[in-house]
Amino acid sequence: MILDSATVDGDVTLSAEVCIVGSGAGGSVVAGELASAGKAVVVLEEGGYWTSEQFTQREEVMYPRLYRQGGTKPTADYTVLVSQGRALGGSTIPSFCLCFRTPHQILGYWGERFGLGDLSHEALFSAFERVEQRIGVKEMGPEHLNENNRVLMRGGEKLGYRGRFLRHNRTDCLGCGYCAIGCAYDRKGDALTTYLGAASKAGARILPDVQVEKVTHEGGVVRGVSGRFLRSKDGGHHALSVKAPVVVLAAGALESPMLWFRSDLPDPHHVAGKNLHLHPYLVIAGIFDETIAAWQGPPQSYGIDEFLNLDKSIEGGYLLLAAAAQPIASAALLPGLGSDHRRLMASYARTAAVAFFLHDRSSGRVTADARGQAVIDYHLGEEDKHDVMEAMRKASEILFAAGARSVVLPYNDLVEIHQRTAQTVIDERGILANEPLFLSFHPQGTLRMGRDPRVSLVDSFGAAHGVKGLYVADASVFPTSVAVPPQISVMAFATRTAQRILAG
Amino acid sequence: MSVERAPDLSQAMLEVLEGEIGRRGLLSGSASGLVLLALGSVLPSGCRSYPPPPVPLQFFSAQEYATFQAIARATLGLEDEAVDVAAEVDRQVVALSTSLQRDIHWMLRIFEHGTHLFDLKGKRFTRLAREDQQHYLEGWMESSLGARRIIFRALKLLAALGYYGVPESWGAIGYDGPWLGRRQEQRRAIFEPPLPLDALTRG
Repeated sequence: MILDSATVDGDVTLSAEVCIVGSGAGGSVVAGELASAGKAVVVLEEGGYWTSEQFTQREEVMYPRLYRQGGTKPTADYTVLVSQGRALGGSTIPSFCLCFRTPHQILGYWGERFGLGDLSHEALFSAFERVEQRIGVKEMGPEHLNENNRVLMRGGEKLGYRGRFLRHNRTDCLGCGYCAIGCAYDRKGDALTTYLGAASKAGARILPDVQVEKVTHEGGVVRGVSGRFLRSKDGGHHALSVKAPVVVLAAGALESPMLWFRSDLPDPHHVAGKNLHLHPYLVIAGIFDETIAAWQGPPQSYGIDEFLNLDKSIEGGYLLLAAAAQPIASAALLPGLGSDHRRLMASYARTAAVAFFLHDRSSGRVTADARGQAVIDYHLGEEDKHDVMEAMRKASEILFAAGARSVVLPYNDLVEIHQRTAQTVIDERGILANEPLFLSFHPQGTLRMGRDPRVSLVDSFGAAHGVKGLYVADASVFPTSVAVPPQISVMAFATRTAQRILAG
Repeated sequence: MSVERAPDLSQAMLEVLEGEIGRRGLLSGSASGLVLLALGSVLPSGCRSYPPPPVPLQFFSAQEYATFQAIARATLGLEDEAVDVAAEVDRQVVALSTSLQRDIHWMLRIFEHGTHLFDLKGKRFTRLAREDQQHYLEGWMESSLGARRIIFRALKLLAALGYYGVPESWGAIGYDGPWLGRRQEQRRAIFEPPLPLDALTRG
């Protein structure tokens, strides 16, 4: 059952066997698994309860509804804009549906380096299968290629780059292309229509519009959480207390460590908040003579993984994908000013874009400012900068190979090149403190798992080393960048967390 | 009219302002943000010489309306008057949180009068020639101060929201707009209605 927060008119105290903070990829899975097994579950979500009936396909309406801070939170030096979903269902609601299993090379590395030998691909296989069946993961095919993805495929094939159709959690997709602001037709296997729906039917109490302030604990044992309602009948921010012997943090890699800090949870070796990986994302645009209409159709049905060669190197590399956005986001992100910008926007329908996710070696940290808000410190190291420049070159090569008339590089001012040889500008400009501006959709690693409590906070099941009854079930637990979009990894690890909680 | 002058910031002033600055959300995460917030507090706050806005305003003052209109036109290269970008943004930002609204008021103030500090111009932004406005905007866009880039990006986003969020602008860029309302497709899921609090606390 889902609470109508507009009916709250006073302070509330609830009791449960398990209280879950956050309702995205991790929290929803734990909630669904535990509630279906008969546990008394309470789920607390800071965002609102929005359903497809309220998904308007209008950016100006949906970004504030579905994303924290209306879309992005910048790093302290404003070099990366970090997006986090904030709604019942979390980031799964505005996701592009990318479904990658945790690469076996990454799992192997975690086993060797962090004592997580029980996380082999074989050990996780049943969790992957279970999650993928539940959210409807399928491989995309030629029928799902929009013109933007055809550009990526055509350019990559001409250059001999290894690529493939990607796996998505969408069923009978209509190809409207508005995935990033919520599927208005319920064709996406998001957390709300899958795990949370099942949790609710099984009796879980799901409370949107709640900000959790602290995990309460005593003598190394969890007691529950305290927080407040962000919405109510009388406009007051009434207090909420949930008494529970088990608390699961699943608020994401920026907010879960904030809760850790605010709650004075034990961290004797100062691990919390460190090891932040952002999986930085950058977009390179190509202008064509023909209509591309990149905003139409499944946004990322094809990918080039030639340069994410984990057999060769467990660190570094990047995944190339098609990128698209509706006009407001496009106009905000496209470089340049004045007539330059106007000219680029006039080419909007003829613009294809190639983006890349960087498997970052660099790590930053998230700390709390005086108001308890997250401050993100993150800087790319030299090896990652090298990869970024190479990825920019590869992306522009692909666009030219596919027939682009010109390529627009992601600097602040308009840098438009008309031939492949002009890519030397990438080397000349390098990666500076103020450009290019990266995006991040996959922050991870801030409450990392491991066997050694001196360098980790939770074990391979997400159980906190030093606090009985406390678990973490989101991308915070990854010891390094997971290299690929993390939705399936988070859900599979959360499945294991639920199984551990059930096992007592 | 308020005096247009380069601000004189002292450490003592920064300390006095710190309490108020600390409550502000958008920019207070960096040292450069703190400095700019302090500057915003000492720059001129009003002027009688702005033209009256052509539409009733909910959020902007007359000077903010004029400032934002000039920013939007210079940033997006708008020449026509088909869309009143400032009026559109004025209508939309009233739904934002109080802290964000406060940030927008403050950003417009420092942007309009920051010409004295950052560009050594004797005129405020709205009185600059279009070419000088572009030059001034470039300074914000490429600044080494993260907070100035934040303000530029925020203003560019608001301009994009006000212009490219309006269907009248879509034809020129070839965008055909949302499916909803022009294509009938069935929704699949049946969502349970949210329940009143007593349903959750019962038992």
